[in-house]
Amino acid sequence: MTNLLKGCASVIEKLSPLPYGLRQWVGQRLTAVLMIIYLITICVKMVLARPLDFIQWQYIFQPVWMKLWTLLFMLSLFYHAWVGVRDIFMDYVGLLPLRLGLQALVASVLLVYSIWSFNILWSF
Amino acid sequence: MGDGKKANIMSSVKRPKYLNLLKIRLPVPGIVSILHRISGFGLFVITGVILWLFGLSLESKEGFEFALNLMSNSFSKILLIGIFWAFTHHLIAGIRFLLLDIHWGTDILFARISSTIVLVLSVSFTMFFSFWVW
Repeated sequence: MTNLLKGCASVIEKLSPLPYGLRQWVGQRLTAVLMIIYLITICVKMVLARPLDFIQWQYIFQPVWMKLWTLLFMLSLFYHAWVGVRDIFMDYVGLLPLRLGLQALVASVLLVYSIWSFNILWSF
Repeated sequence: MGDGKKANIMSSVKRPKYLNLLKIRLPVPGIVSILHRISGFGLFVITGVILWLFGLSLESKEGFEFALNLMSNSFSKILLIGIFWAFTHHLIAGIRFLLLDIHWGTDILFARISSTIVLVLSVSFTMFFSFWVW
């Protein structure tokens, strides 16, 4: 099992055009830009849907492209948060086992959020 | 001789280095930076609640009303204003950081001015929002 994980990790390492660390740095910036663009779309949509009642609200997230775009936004948010929180832990949590435990917790929470987001968007 | 001494000091520094937050005195860009971090962490902590409310609001008319009504008591209004500030500061400071990343506005005077602008904007927007909410 550990060998399998290590194998996967090294394959990802080899396929990636950027070295470890820089990849997260670039990813955090790219997701930031994507989220800014999404915020502009959702603001425009909400202004156009005024007065914003329940029917209008559902209508905004009804089209498949909007579901996909929103899911992309949410996944970007979670990745962005992952890099940010990991940076914070690396700076302030000196005790390695504690830090790894916290990181594992955050990673699992964000993974659950990802599945949850998909569920929300495709279940109404 | 000087070099030898320097090398000695360098090798005696333990790495990785963990920061003592209480010993650091921050200039304005530093304040913007640490607030960016704090607001980001706060937003991460609150994400679950927002996701839950988002789900409720799309699920049914009752859920939508419930999410809206939840905002109507003073406690959640204060919380909402806090979240709004964290979001606004994180967004505006984040845009500034993206510009710094492409080497725009990196000289010291401009960095100070732009970080002051970030603080003023996020606080003013939050004040407008507070009046609007209440």
